[in-house]
Amino acid sequence: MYIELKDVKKSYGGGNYTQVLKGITTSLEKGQMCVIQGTSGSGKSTLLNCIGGLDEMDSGSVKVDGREIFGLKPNELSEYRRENLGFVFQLYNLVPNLTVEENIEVCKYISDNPLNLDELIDEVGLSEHRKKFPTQLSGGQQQRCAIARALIKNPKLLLCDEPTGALDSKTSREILILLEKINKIHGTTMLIVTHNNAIKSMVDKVIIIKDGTIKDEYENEMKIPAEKLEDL
Amino acid sequence: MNRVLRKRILRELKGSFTKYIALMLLITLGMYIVVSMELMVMTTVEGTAEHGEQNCVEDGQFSVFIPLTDAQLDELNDSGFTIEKIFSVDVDAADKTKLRMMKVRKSVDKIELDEGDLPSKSNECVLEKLYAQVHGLETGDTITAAGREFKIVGTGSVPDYEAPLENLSDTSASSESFGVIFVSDECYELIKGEETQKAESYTYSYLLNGGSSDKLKKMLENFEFDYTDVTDEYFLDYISQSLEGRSDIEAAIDELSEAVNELSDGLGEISGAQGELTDGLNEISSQLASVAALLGDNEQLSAAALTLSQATEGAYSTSKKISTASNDIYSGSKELAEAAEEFKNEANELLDEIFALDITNLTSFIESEDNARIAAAALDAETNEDIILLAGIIVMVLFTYMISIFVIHQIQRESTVIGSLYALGANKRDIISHYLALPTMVTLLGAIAGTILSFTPIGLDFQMASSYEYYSLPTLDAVYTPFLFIYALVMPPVIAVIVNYLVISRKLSKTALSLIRNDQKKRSYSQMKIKSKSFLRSFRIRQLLREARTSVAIILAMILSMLILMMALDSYVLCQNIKSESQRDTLYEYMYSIKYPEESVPDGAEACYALSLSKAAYGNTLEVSVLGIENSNRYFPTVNIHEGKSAITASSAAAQKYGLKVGDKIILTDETNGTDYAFSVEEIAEYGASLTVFMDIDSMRELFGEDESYYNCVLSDDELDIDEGRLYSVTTKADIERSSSVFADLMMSMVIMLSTASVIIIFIVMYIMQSIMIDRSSFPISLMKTFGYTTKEIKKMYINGNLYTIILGALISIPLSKLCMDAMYPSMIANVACGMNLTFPWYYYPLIFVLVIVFYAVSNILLIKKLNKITPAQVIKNRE
Repeated sequence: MYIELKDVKKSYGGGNYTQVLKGITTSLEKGQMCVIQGTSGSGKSTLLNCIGGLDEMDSGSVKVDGREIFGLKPNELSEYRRENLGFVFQLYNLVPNLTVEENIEVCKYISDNPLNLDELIDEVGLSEHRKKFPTQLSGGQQQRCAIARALIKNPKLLLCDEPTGALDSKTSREILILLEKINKIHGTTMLIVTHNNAIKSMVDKVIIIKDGTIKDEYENEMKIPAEKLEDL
Repeated sequence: MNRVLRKRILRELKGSFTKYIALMLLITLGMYIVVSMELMVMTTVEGTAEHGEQNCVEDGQFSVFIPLTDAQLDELNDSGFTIEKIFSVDVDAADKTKLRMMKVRKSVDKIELDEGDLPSKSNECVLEKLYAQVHGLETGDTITAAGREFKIVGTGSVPDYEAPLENLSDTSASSESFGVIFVSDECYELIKGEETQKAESYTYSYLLNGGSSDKLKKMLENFEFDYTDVTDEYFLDYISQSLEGRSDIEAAIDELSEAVNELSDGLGEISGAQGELTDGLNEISSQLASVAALLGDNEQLSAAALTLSQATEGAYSTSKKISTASNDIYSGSKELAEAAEEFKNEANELLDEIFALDITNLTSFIESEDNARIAAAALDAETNEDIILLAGIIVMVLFTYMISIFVIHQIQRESTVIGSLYALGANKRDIISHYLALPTMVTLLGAIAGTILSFTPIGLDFQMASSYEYYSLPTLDAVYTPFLFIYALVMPPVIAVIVNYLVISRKLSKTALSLIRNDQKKRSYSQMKIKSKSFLRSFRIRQLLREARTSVAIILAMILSMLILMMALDSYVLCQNIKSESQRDTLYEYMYSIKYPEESVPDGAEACYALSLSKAAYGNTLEVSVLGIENSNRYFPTVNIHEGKSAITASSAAAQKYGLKVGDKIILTDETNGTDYAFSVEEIAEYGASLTVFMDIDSMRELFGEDESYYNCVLSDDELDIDEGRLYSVTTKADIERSSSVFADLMMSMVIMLSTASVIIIFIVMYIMQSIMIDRSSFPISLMKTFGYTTKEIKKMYINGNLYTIILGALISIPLSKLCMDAMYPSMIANVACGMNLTFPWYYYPLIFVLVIVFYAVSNILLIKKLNKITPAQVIKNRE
């Protein structure tokens, strides 16, 4: 297994103690695309953050490519993220005063084995916009840039938190096609947190979370290509 | 809405407590320094004026050769002037320091006692307070002066020795070596009569009582003065020396006149005798003619008598001619005698002109505003007042601008909230007033704290300490006016409102939608194209451009703190330079100021002719010493003398003070007679011991009407045997070294205070501004951490780039602040008669630069903690 989660628990707050993750156990094969679905407050983003080492879990185990994440020190977590992960956020989170090219370079700079910048920019369809600043781009273009930024260091695992949450259906489809393409070309394992029901049809595995526990989990045998998804 | 928003203010303050407290601390520090200095200025100016009025501070003073007669004093009093004798004799204390002994004043320049009573017995005295303080003397102690023991019955101050300068032309006062002692009338008379004492100085202080000083001066000049009335043996000796040549000529003319008279008298006698002879011959001739007639019978006898008669008649006729000629000679000799008398009179007039001793009784006339001893503390304080007030405003503008950067960051952070409030109907005025409230409140609190501190012992008392250490001042109560409170408590918040309004108003002028979307400007300098191939370099440049406003604030704050540091360093180096130059350039061991010089210069000494003239600089009139020396004078090896009555060689000290260059003209004024003298600067000599200009001694004697051997100052390596009665004063090299160290000692506390303030400002500003930069970038930093960047790498990207700002700031601020302070500094110490050598040793500059970098490094170390606190999870939190 590329990702193995065992009894992952996470809670917030002191006085108003809330257990967000109540013992999640699951796994994912290398190169799989997986969707984590659930209602607002179900704990899906928290789970993603725990896998990404952005949030500290209370107990349990998260192993990525055989490496235990739980208990790592901040510097070790940095190293883990640098070597393994790419992040894509709902609100793109681009650095406003950097150009498209420079935003992507932010991650190229820390990678020992980065992809070719020009090829990647071409791949995500931003060749014409490479010198533009985020404020000069549409939402879809900004998300493409964010994906390119996440991919430049050639990560083994791409964590996407509502990557189409802020986009219209046409642009959402374009982004999903892009992710699909990248998965095929680079073999990148992808974990996508989404509200969007339609997306689960294009991935290999679906995990449905409710109230901090896995309500349902299954392998999708009938994958539909992104360009054919309906009701996006 | 405002009421609801107001609740946020305290929460915001709590949320960013450290930063706001640090900014408030800066404002408190700034206001503390400015208000305490202004309070010191007001207290000194108003306080000394009030005490001066109470103690009847003089309108001026004059000195005379011989005391005015009672009739002359009555005449002055009748003209409405109040005249007080402030005669003095300089006596030695047991520790060889000098004490100027005077009687207790009655109506002008009265003593204000700090403690004790006035002296009533001949063994009692009141000691000037600064001298007493420096020598650890108190009321009840004893002091030995003029070989007698005195009981100190009181200590106090007099307004005419507020700056206790021994001589008016002294650069600085040194109570370690000079003080004033007041004794009873009886005691004074006793001591001044002693032969061992120096010459008594006859000085009067006056109150004009509405009259004019010109009128008083004219009256004094017109008073009859017969120098033969002077009883001082040295004065008379000096006069007789000066008049020796005249007496010789007068005696020769008298001799000539007498000889001519004698000649005339002789010729008169010859003329008279010749007349008698002629008459006798005539009579003999007549008698012989009668005898010849009687001897008619005797032809032979008659013929002989007739022949004799004819011969006698011939003799008579010749004698008559001689008589006429001798009468002519006599009347000629009479004319010669008259001409000789006339010659004598003319010669006397000519001698009066040639041997003009210019002996009017008045030797000096100084109005109080030209007297360096009077109101010196107020003048000193007042000189800097405008600069202090202006500095306070600049400080406030800078600090409130720093706050505004903080507010802008807050507005950017809350852009969507503000947009939402706009969308819900809030107007711009409500929002602006909300965002102005906290900076205004912080500024006001800082100003209040600074003002309160100014009134505590570390404020006014600390500021006054240096005045009390240098000036002999009565104890002054704090004086404050409504203006001070307006300046201290109203000006800062008003500036905060203005600066913040100007800065944030534009930010809040966007549309609601634009704010909700947090739209950035389409075109901005932070989005300029960068050609660098290096990602890290490009990133740092972008970050610097993004934080340009903060960088500007850092550079401005650096300039401000560097100005403060330069003020401290200029003060320090000036004092050190005065000290070292005085020691370097004073090559003699003894300088004797001579009142009545002997004819010959003492063996082994160099004679000079010294004169104090005055020259205004930056609104203050200062004494400039004109020193006539010979080119070969061994005590001034660096000085080349140029012949000519208008040629001077300026000392480097005078050149610095008055901005003189070779070829410049300088006009110096003799305040006693109001005469201006124009000089041409022929050369500038390296001499920093005092404000001196050098002249060829012969040219100077000629210019000021002294005889060709005149001198009034001698310099020597060894102590000379000169009668005390001939001397004004003796100054040793040790005295000069001591007095040149006074400034360095006095200024040290101010130097430390200013340097500390400068360091605190620069450090806090660096820390706060970089901290604000990190806050502004906390989201991208969090993002970077999400990508896997380590704190070290993030520091490289977000903080290390600031090194360029700091280096640029240091490279701009260090030389700029030095240039500005060097331009301003002379006006700050306009009332100090000293050179203006503000040159730093070269290594000061790199040292300051290194210090700045060290502060930056320390603030960076502290900021790493802040960077560590930013977690990758903030990216998620922000979204949520």
